[in-house]
Order: sequence, then C-alpha cells, then structure tokens
Amino acid sequence: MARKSNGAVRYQQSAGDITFNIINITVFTIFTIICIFPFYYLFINTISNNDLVGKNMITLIPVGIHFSNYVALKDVNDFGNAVMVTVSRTILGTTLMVLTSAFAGYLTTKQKMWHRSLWYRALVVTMYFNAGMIPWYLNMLGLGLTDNYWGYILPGLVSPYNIILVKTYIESIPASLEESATIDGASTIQVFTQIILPLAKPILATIAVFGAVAN
Amino acid sequence: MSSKERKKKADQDSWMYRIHRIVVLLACAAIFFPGFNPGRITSAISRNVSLFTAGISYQSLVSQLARALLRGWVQKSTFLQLMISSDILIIGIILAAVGACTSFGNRRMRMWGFRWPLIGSILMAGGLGGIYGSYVQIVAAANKRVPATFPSGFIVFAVLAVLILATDVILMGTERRSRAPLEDRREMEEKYQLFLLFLPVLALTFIFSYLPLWGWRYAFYDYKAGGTLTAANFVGLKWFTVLFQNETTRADIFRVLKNTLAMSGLGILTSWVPLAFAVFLTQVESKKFRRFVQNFTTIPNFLGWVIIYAVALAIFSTDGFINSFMTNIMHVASNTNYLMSGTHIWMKMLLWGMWKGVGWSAIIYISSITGIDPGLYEAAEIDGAGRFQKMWNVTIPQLMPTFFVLLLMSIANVLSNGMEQYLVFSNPVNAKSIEVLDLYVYNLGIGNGQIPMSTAIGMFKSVISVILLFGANAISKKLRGESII
Repeated sequence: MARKSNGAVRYQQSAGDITFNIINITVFTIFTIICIFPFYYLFINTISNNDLVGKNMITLIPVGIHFSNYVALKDVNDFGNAVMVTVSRTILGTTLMVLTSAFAGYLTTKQKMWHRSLWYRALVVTMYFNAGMIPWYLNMLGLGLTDNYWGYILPGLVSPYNIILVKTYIESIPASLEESATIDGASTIQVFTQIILPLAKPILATIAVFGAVAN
Repeated sequence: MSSKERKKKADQDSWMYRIHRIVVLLACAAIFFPGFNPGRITSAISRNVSLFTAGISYQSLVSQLARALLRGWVQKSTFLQLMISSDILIIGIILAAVGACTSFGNRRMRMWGFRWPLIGSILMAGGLGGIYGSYVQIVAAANKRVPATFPSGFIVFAVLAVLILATDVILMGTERRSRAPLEDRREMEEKYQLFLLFLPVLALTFIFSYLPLWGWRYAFYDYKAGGTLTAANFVGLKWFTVLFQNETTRADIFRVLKNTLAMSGLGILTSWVPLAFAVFLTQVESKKFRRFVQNFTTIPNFLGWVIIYAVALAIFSTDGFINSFMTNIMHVASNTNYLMSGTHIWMKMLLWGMWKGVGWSAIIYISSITGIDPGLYEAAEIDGAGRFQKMWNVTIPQLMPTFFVLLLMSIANVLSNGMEQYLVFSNPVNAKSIEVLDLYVYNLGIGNGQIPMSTAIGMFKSVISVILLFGANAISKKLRGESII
C-alpha cells in the first residue's frame, strides 16, 4: 500500500471508485478550460494576423503568427521602470506582510496577553469600517506617504484578514509542542521562530500569494 | 504595613501609572494629527502636514513655500531649524514611550525606566524651544505673504511635555519612598511582554485604519471638493436627515440595498463551493493534475476587474468569441451583444465572481487539508470508512473552523461587496439592478461631487457592518460555543 500525502490509500479500485474518478477529473478539466480559455483566446488574437483579427476571423487557432505587438511594448515609455517598481515593491511588501501577519497571528493566539480580546477585536473590526477614499487620501497626505515608495508598503503591512487566517491555523497546531519548548526554557520569540514558523509554512505560503496578488 | 493597606497603596500607584501612560499615548497619537502640528508657525505651511511629516520630509514642509524661499522673504535656515526641532520633539516622545513601556515591568525595571520620560520631556522642551525660535524668526521677517500664526498645537505639546514630566517625577518619588523589595533582575510579566510585542501592530492599525476616521467629520459639513471645513458650513445632521426624508433618495437607497443584499446573499449561499472544490480536488490521485488545475483556476483572480471586463468583451461582445464561433464554425449568423442584456444580472455577477474567485478561495482550504494529521485518516480506515465517509467525517469537520471564520466575515461584510466589478459591468441597460451600495456611494461622491452625503452613507454602512459582525459572533458563540473574534 502506498500512502499518499492527502491520506488516500492506493488499493484495488472498485467500479464505484473508477466512476467517481472519471466524473471528478472531467468536472475539474472542464472548469479549468473555462478558466484559461479566455486568456488563450486573447493571446491568439494578439499574435494572429492583425487584418484577420480586425475582421473577427480568429476563433480557435491562431493564423499568420507574428509577435510585432509584443515587440512594440518596449517602445512604451517607462515600461521597464514601472515593471521594476512593481516587482521590487511586490517582493518587499509581501515579505514584510507575511512576517508581520505570522508574528501578529501567533501573538493573538496567546490567551495570556494583557487584554488580548480587546486588541484582537480592535484589529478585526478595522476590516468592517471604511473612512472613504478622500479621508484615506488626506491621511496619507498628512503622513507624507503620497508619491512615496513606502506609501505602497506600510499600509499593507498589517492585514487583519491574513492575521485571522494565521491565527486559526496556529490554533490547530497541538499546544503540547509549544508547551514542551517553553518548559525547555524557550522564549516567546524562540518558540515563534523555531516551532511556529516551520509548522505554519503552508498557511504562510498561502498568504504570501494573497499578498503578492494584492500588491 | 498590612497586606490590605499595601494593596490600596498599589492601586493608587497604578492609577498614576495609567495617567502617565495615557498622556504618553496621547502625545504619540498627536504626532500624526495635522491639526495638532506645533510647527505650523505660518499659515503658508500646508494644513495637511502633521508633526510626523514635518520631521521626516522637508519637501512636504515647504511644499507651498517655494516662491517665498526663492525670493528670500523667509530664510531656508528657519525651516531647517523647524524640521530639526520637530525631530527632537519626536525623539523626546519616543523616549517617553520607552519609559511608558518599562512601566509594565517589575519594580527594578520601573526604577530603571523613569529616566527615559525625564530625558524625553527635556528633549520635548528643547524641540518646542527650537520651534518657538523659528516662529520668532518668521515674526521678525514680517512678510505679508508668509504671515506668522502661533500654532495651537504648540500649547498642546507643551502641556503634554509638562504632564509627562510631572507624572514621571511623582511616580519616581513614590517608588523611591516605597520600601517594597527590589528584585535581582529587570523583568516583566509575560502578559505585558506579549502586549508590548503586539503594540507595533496596534500602532500601524491605528495609523492606517483608525486615523482616517477623522475624515468622517466631512459628513457634518457642507463640503465641496477643494474647499475647507469652517464653522460657517457646518450643517450638523442635515445629510443624515436628507437621506431618509428625501423621497427619491430613499427610493434609491432601497433599490440599492436590495441589489446589495441579493448579491451578497447569493455569495453567502455559494460560499461552500470553494470548500467542495478543495475537498474533491484533493481526492484526485495524480499530483500533476492537481497542480495543473490549481494553478490555472487561480489565474482569473490575478487580474483586476477591468481586465476581466476586457475578457468578457472578448468573449461575449458583438465581435467576441461566441459570435465568431457561431458564425465561423457553426455557420449560423450571430451578432448579439450579450453584455448589453439587462436580465438575470444578479446571477451573471455571481457567476463572474465565482469564475474569478473559486479556485482562489479554495487555496485556503487546500492548505488546511494538507495540514490534516494523516493519523485521522488511518483511524477512519481501520474503522472501515470509505472515501465519502472519510471526506464527510474527517476532512470536512477539520475544515469547519476556517469555513465558519470566513462565513462569519462574509456575513458581516454583507453591505460591502466592493464596487469595481459592478462599475466595469454597468451599462445603461442594467444600471438599475447592478448598482450596489459601494457603487452608489462612489457614483454619489466622485460622479456627483456629493462628498458629505457619500461619507454619511459610508458611516452608516460601517456602523451596520460592525453591528452585524458582533451579532454574528454572538450567534456563533451560542450555536457552536465558539467565539470567532
């Protein structure tokens, strides 16, 4: 018996299993095609002969392939610079956001913290009110964060949603691991870096993707 | 001293500590309010500059003074001095904050900590002195275009500095006189340590989420873009009453609320779909296929709604894929613009939302499934559980905590379904049934320039959302014995 990571066990497949697998895989294949087909369609339209595209003749396969539309991109002003700013702010912003969320998520699991539920509520509630666009802009102006690289990064550092996700995940890790480390004399920070961080990798990877997309 | 008396004494001390900490906290907050900027020594300095900005950005400080500096009406050195003094003032407040943090420690740590607010308040006095020096220079320059004004924030900070110094000295005196034993090391109870570690997160939350709420005051003024808030255009609750008394506005609000609740309701009713997606996907044995599906179904989520609309155009518009498919391959002449139809718009919006989001939302469940202890599945197998029984009795219960947290959050978010999607898909045909509350607020504020009215509606929305959040939480506590927040 070969054990798989998802807990399924490979054994002689019954007819029911085979039907299940066929239906399951077909449904997922269809959904995946629905998800990517529009992008394929846009793509073949950008590389097909521009005249045919204009006449609306391209449906399923590209005709008269050329890449001049993409070559023309390099002539767009500041394209390279814009890409650089986007990439660097995504990397820096995401890394900092993940670390903050992980640490904050861990701290909020600590029942011992002074007035924990009050602070946690103050944090969660921020997801549900909104000052509006103009007050937000004036606030950024008051902080000197408009037209500024940090203006992209700092506001996104504390993300209540991601903190909740990390907190829920860490709470599912057996508390005994943390307790044994504490008995061995590990400090809060040591428990966090050496026990919680490695165990929370799946959820951190998830919020890293969330963060990278948001950036 | 009996233990009771000692307890009473400790309570009195702790009151003094609380006052001390609150004063320091106020000083920290005041750094970020432009209204309290002690360095606005002339009305030529922008009213949006806070002490914090003045300290970190010389450019913002002199943004409206380029001509005055060029013509020599005022000296550059005046403003450099202003900026450096602001920095000294900020450093003083930071030191006071350090002192306030050590006040959570044991007696030895507190005794050690008293020096920081002391030094801090001296630095604050120095910074304020420097700012006053700049003010005197502006007065001496006596230029009509750079009129000197004595900033009210100056008094605020002076009072705060005095209070910090006074409370610190009083506390130092009482601690010195007390004969309580002195510990060997500087230590702090764990509950306070954890709180102080969490404090930076709270500070960022305050700055970026609570501070902008100051802008809610626009709802009480008759404000036009670019204007200022003065006592003259203060209108009190006018906008709130207009909201409910004006017949057309009320009809609008009801229509918009109906759309909002319908779309959010559909979203909540289908919130189990990503969970089912994740559970069934992890049943596929081929890892390659799982990867393939997961990667490609998340693609739509990486794109903004504007691009999704471009995709929708490419597929459903007059010269989109569907029409070209019908004409070129099925040989049926077809020329319909599916996007212009105004029917079933709620359903269509739901489908677009799902197309964009299902693969994405499933990620969180898939990562939870990877974290499930394989021992649980082994135990279930030994008990003779089949595939569906394992899914139903092991996987799904393990995902329930995450599901409920997300469900609760979406219930509280019932009034805010974002506006981007509805903005890009709206057209004259479907405008009535697609306008959700967020879009309505946007159209009102940006489209019609009614900023106070849109702020008032935004306030209402926020209050209702917070009430819903706590209500849903109370229900969850009752039903599941578990509180989410």
